[in-house]
Amino acid sequence: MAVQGPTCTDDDVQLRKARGPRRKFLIGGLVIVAVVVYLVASSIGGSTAYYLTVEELKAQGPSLRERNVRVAGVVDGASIQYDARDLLLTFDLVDASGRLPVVYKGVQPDMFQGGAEAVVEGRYRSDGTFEATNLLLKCPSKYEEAATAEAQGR
Amino acid sequence: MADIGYAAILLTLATSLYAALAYLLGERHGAPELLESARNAVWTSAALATVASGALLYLLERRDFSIRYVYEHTSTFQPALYNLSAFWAGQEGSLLLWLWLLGLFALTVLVSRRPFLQDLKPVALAVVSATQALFALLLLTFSNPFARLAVPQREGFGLNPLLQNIGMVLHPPVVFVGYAGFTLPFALAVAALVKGRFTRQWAREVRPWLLTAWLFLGVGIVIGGWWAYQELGWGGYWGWDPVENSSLVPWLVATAALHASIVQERRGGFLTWNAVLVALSFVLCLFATFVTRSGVIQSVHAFGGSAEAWVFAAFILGSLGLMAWLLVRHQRDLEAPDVVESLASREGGFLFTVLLFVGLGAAVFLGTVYPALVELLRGQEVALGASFYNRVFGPLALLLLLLLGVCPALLWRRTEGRALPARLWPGGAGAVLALAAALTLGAREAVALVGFAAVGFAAGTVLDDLLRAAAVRREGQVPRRVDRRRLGAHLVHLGVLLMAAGIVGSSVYKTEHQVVLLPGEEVSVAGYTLQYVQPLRGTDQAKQRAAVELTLSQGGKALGTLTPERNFYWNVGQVVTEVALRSSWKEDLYVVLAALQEDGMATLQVQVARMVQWIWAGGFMLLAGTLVGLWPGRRAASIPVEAARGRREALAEEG
Repeated sequence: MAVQGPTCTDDDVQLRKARGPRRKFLIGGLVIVAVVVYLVASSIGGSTAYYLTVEELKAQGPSLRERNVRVAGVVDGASIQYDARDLLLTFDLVDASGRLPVVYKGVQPDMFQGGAEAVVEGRYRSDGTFEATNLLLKCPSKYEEAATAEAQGR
Repeated sequence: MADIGYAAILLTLATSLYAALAYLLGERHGAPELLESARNAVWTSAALATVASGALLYLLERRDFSIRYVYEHTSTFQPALYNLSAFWAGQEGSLLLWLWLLGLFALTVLVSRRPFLQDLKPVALAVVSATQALFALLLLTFSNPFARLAVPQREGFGLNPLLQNIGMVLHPPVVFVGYAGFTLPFALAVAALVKGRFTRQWAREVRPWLLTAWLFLGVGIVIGGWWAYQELGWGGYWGWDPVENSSLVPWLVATAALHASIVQERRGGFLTWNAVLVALSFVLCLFATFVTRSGVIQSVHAFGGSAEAWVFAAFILGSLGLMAWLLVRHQRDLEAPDVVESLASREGGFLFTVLLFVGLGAAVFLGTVYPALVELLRGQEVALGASFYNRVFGPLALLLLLLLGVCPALLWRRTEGRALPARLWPGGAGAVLALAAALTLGAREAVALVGFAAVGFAAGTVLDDLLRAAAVRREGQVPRRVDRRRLGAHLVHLGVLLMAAGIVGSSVYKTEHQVVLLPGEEVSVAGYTLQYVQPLRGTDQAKQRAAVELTLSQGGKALGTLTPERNFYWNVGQVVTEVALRSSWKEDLYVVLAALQEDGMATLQVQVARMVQWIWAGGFMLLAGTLVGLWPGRRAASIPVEAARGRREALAEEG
């Protein structure tokens, strides 16, 4: 980054030791900080999804209609139905407090199977089913642990 | 062999602790024999870590299934490459890799002959050795890669099939070179503060280490995105997962440090900024290592907490405390001249760049720890969606693009207002060209148009500055040398612009289609014709294969065969999708086999995303640009600004 173009003389430098630029800088810096803080503060609420148990979900049902919530539980293997033509996956998610019928439209995730620990994110519908827009499954490392436990137990 | 490995780590703990103590005592009391023995200890630590790593590699290669780590990550039938990449597939191996890399990096400081570094070596190597001791301790206690199984096994579990991809062979070690690499700038900053040498020259001398670590981390992150895109089957390359985020944060902070250190080198300013940024990059790398491996933050990748967290936390707080203490204690050395004289100057541009990168890093960090914070403070379990990051990252990235477009037009110290239009018009022209191109090709969405225009604007001024430099060289106004650092920086910036364009294009223009086909049928989707030739099935030791063979054509022109797969792996007991991909500069066709029925009926999910390839190309350009800037050679570019402005002024300022 060599310097080209008009260069300034010592006199210019002296002139600019005045207070003006410093204040401009402070203001410029504060504006950036304010922009960052504003962006974070304004986005964080709308993007937060609360974890609820099945019981809480059913109790608060009507008030939650338009909110994005998450429910964690175990996939009930007997309840899984996968319509491979339309990619429609329905299953029951079970936690300690109850059972929740879930509808998910999309490709069945790789790790999805009966007994898998899953998190569904989406909306609770008035018909008592949960419309999942997101279906997350626990990481494969879990399986490694299970396999290791198995090997050690043998 | 396992005992040799374990013993080697145990000895590394001893030698690295000894090295740290001997260096500090030797430095304090001026005892040359202590310093000499500390040097030997650093060599020994590096050698021992190499022995330990060699032992693990040997066990992996021999597939010694009496060792738990080997059993968990290798098998007799998986390709040999994956038996070696298993080294960094798990927690224990990656921590050992950290230890090994730290040992090797310590040597780069130890053997350096640069006069400036001689005084800094003792304290810097004490810091590196202390970090080595941390990792040796973790390896001995919580994450022993040489632990044995209660009952030796005949066959290994094998590497997780998701990790059986060239991307995952490369991603972890490349990222870890970056992580471990940030230890050196931090260590050298601590040493420089202690010795009162945190000067312009420090910034120049440390730049190669900082840049190398930054390069590896950046390239590693891009490879990680490429792997996710190839292997995870959801058609994206970045999911704002905590593990991904925690590797991005130190990179963003280090990017701020790279820019701030230019001001330190050229004008002697931003000293406190640099000390803080270098320390933050280092501890954020430790944080990232710890996040990847612990369950503190809810993540699709990382579950299962451990006491390791406390050791990491203590070391991180200790490092930050050390830096804070040094900054307070050596406050006077850090009183830099007020280098920013005008808003419209290079210094001003750098200041805003640093602020924006730190802001980005802070926002991503906050988002990453937010769920943990809420749970801690309110007892409420929450998750933060990707929309948060998109809303925050978008506007800040746009500001950075504009800044990148303005900065090359700014001069050091002050730019006359009159001179600006003449230097900014290429940017304007670039913006207009990009906008026209986007409109011609059918882009109408405001987000995309603004994004492409900003990329065009920045590309215009950057290219103009490159051409100016070439013109000046031709006219012989400066010695006929290529200013490698300037060329490299511009190439890196152009690479980032390619990536930005690719990110805008692929996130705005993405379509998804579902098709159901029987063998022999064909379908038109998104301008392509897919013909389903036949289902492919088979069974081997690793998996049960289910795939379909498709021929792809466009406008009657054959484009080849696609084979999306959906294989069931015995070891993990689950299906793993193999995506079929056809890439071009315009768009990617991404085919996922969603289901394959007994009768051969296949359900395919077809995604088309624009300009994905630009992202990977940008990554290569970033790599190439950094290498150009790093290439050892003349140091013409690093002369302080004043030297270029006349010797009188330079002498006056150097005092």
